[in-house]
Amino acid sequence: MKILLGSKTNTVGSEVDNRFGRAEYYAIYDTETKEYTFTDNSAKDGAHGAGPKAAQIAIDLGVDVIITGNLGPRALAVVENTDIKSFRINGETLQENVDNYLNDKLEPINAAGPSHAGN
Amino acid sequence: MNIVFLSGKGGTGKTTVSTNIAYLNGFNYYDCDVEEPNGHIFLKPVINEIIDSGVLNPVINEDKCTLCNACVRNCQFGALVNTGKKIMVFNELCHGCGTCSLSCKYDAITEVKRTLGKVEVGTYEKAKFVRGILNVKEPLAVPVIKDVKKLINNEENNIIDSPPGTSCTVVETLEDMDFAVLVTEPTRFGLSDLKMAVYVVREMKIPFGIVINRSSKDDHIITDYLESENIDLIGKIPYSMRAARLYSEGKMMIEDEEFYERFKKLSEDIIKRVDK
Ligand code: SF4
Ligand code: SF4
Repeated sequence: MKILLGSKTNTVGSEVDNRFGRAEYYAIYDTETKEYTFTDNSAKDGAHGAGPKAAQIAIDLGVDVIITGNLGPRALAVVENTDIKSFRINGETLQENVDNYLNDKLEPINAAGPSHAGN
Repeated sequence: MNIVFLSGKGGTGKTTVSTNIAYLNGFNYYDCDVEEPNGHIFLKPVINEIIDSGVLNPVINEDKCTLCNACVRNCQFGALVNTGKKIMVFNELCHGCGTCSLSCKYDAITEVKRTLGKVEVGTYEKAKFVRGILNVKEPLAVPVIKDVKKLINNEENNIIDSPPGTSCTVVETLEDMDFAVLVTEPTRFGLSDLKMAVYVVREMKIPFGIVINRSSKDDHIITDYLESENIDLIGKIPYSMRAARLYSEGKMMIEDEEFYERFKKLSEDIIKRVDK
């Protein structure tokens, strides 16, 4: 199973990045190999619509779980149309959040946070 | 000749300056500040025509769609998402460019018009008056601005009121402009907004100059910066209670004798620069 987390840096010891669409990097944790891979967030630089673009990245990476601070209304609408499950961050680092997820200590995201659509 | 008036986010009196200059010279007036167009308050136009303004949004026929992803890949605005089960369309992000339907080989996309606002066309005195009005809560302003700008005849003398700030709506408005007048005021906020506006007009290589509105003893906040950057100060309009009252009554500043002289001088100074 693959877990996607927003990450402040592209290193294993990184803190999580609260933002979904505008996270600096994405960390993908594979529960089988117990390893992280990192990818740049190409969605974050556009003026608008980072949320849906980021959701597309998650879909294309084939992740099963997203751990983030908030999902905007559009990103949430996308995620709800897939089998991906989303959970709210609880903990500072990537590993703390992965551990909390694996121990059922994260709360699922059911409602959208504020959108950062801009004009 | 197209002269655009531009300002930072806070109300710096951009419209006061642009409408008075337009009126004095009998120039056409195009209000591209579509979220808050208020030039009409001062110019009091007669509107003869109202044009619906909108974009064509794609609608996906799920029976025909093979999820080939071509449309998603080609959309530059991130308005389409392929969930693996269907294509989702985010209308509020869609600019109606038509690329998706051109890239669909399976005839799965049709286009449906979505109204974003309207364009009012009329006259004031003997000149043209056009304004774009964006629907309340509509985030997509650029297509309405495009519809306003389609009506500009570059051979005529035109004043264009830009949206405030530095976003894509401003960049859209600045296309094809011959000269930009940046209206600012002598405060710290005024200065920081001005710096951003200067950045945008320089990026777009549009000749420009500055007008300080509500000029006061604090003008040095702005003039120090202008000197250090070698930027042209076109003129100043002083703050006065009389000006504030005229404004609140929706009257033109040039109805006041003293301001008439000032605006006459200012408008000569602007036109001199554009003609150069
Ligand atoms: S019309 Fe253009 S912006 Fe709209 S969804 Fe299609 S490609 Fe994207
Ligand atoms: S290009 Fe046409 S067929 Fe391909 S995913 Fe888009 S709508 Fe479906």
